Amino acid sequence: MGRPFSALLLPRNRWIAVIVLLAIFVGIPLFVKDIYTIHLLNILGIYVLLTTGLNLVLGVCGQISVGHAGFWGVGAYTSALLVVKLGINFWLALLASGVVGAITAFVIGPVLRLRGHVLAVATIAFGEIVRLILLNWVSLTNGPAGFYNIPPAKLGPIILNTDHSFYYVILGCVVLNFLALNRLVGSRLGRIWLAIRENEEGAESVGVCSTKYKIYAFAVAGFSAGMAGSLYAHLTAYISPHVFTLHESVRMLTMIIVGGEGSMGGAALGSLFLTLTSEYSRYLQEYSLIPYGFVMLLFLIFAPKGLIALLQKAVDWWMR
Amino acid sequence: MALLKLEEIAVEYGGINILKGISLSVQEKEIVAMIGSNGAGKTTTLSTIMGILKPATGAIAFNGEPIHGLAPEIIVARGVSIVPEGRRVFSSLTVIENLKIGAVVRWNRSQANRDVDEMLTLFPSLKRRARQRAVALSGGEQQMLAIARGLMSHPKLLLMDEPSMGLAPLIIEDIFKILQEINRKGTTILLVEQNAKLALEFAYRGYVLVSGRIAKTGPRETLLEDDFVKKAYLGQHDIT
Repeated sequence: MGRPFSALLLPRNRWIAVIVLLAIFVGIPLFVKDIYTIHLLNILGIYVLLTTGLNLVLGVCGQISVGHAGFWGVGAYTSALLVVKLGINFWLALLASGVVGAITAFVIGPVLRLRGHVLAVATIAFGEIVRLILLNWVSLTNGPAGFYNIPPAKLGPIILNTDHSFYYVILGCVVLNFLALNRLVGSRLGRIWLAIRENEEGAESVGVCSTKYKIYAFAVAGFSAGMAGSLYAHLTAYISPHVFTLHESVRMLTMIIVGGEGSMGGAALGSLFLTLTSEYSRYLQEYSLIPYGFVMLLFLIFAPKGLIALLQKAVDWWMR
Repeated sequence: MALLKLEEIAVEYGGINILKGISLSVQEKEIVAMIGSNGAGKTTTLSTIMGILKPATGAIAFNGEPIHGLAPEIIVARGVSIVPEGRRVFSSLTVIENLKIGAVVRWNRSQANRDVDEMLTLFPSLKRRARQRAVALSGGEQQMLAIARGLMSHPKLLLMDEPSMGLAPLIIEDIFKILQEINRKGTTILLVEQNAKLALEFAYRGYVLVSGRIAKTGPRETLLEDDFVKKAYLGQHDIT
C-alpha cells in the first residue's frame, strides 16, 4: 500500500516548487481583474480546505466519512451567529468556527468507535442531522430562509467586501492549513493514523486506541471544515441549510478520489478539477451529471491513483 | 501466583461457540505452548486475552487482577503484548516507525528512541533496513519486526501467534533462538503453534486445544510421549 505523498512533486526542489506556486497564487488577483474568475478561485480555496481535511480522515486514517458537509455547516452557522447576533469580530469568529468544528468531532466521538461501512452510514446520519437542525431550529438559524447580509470581514479600517480582497484571507487559510496538515501527516500522530488505515484491529492489538485517534483525525478535519464554513459565510454573505447537503459531502469525496486519495496535493488538484468542470458544464444543467459520471468512471478505470499520480508521472518523465 | 490465568473462558463469534470454556495458566518466566489444529480456537484465545474479543463467560486474570472486559490498549499497558499471526506489520511504515507504534501505550520520546536502538541491536537484520518500509522486508525479517514491535511496550507476557507460519526452517530456528533469548531475559511467553513438535520442544509445558476445549495438558515430555498427541499432531502413526 502506498504512503500518502505530499503535493511537492519535486523531491529535491520542493521548497522552490512551493514558493513558485505560492507566488503565482499571490500574483493572480493583481493581474486578473475579472471578478468571476477570482470568485471561482475563492470557492476553490474553500473546497481545498474541505477536501484536504477530509483527506486526512479518508486517505491517511482510512475512514470513510460521508458527512463532511456537516462540519462545514456547523462552521458557517457558528461564524454567522457570532458575527450577526453577538457582533463578534470576524477573525475571532473564524477561529471559533474551526474550534467548534473540532469540538463537534469530539461530540460525535462515541460513534467513531464504528468501523468501515457502518461508520460510513453513521457519518451520513451525522451530516443529515446537522442539516435538519439548521433547517428546523428556526429561532436560532432562521430555518430554510437562512442568514442574509452576513457582514464582510474587516482588517483594521479595510473592509474585505470584494472577492479580490477576501481572496488573500482564503489563500492565507489554505496555505496555513496545508502546511499544518502536511506536518501532521509526517508526525508520530500521522504514523498512527496510517497504522489504523492499514489494519485497525492490528493497530489496536499493539496498544493503539483507534477510537481516540480516529476522533483526532475527525477533529482536525472538523477544524479545517469549520474555518471553510466561516470563510464561505463571509464570502457569499448568505448561508442556508440547502448549501450543506449530502450531495456536497459526496462531491468532496469525489474530489479526493479524482485527485488522488491520501495525497494533500491530490485533494487540492481534485478540488480544482471538479470546481472547474462543474462550473463549465453548468450550461448543461441536469445533463451535466452525464459527462460528470462518465469522467468519474474513466478515472476509476484508468487512473485509480488520481490526477496527482498522473502529474507525478509526467514530472518524472520530464525530469528523466 | 500465576502471571496469567484463564478460567472457564467461553467466546462466541458470529453465532458460533469458538471457545467452550477453557482454563489455563501461565507462570512467570515460563514458556507455554498451545497446540491444536486449524480452527481449534488458538488465535481466538489470544485475541480474547488481548481484549479484542470479549468472553461471553469466564474470567481472565493478569498479575492477579481481572483484565477481561478491559480495552486492548489498557491490557497492553498492563504488560501483555501480542505478535500477531501472519506477522501483520504496518507495511507502509518504515521499520523504525513500526517499532515506535509498539511503544504507543507508554509514549516517551527518548525512552522510545533508546528502545528502538536496543531492538536494532537485538535484531541485526532489522538494523540494515531500519529506514526502509516494512513491505520491502522478507518474511523472516517481518516476523523479527513483529516480535521487536511487541517488545517495545516492555511486556511481562508475550503472546506469539504461529511464529513459524510460512517461514523456511533455518529462519524458524533463528526466530526460536531469539524467543529463547527473550525468555531468558525474563519475558514470559505463551506460544500458539500448529507445528506441534516445534512448539513442544521449545516450551516447558503445553496445552492441546481441540474444537474449543482443552483436551490435554502437561509438561512437554509427557505431551511428546502422549499417544493421542503423537497421532494427531506429531504425525507419528503406530504401524500395526
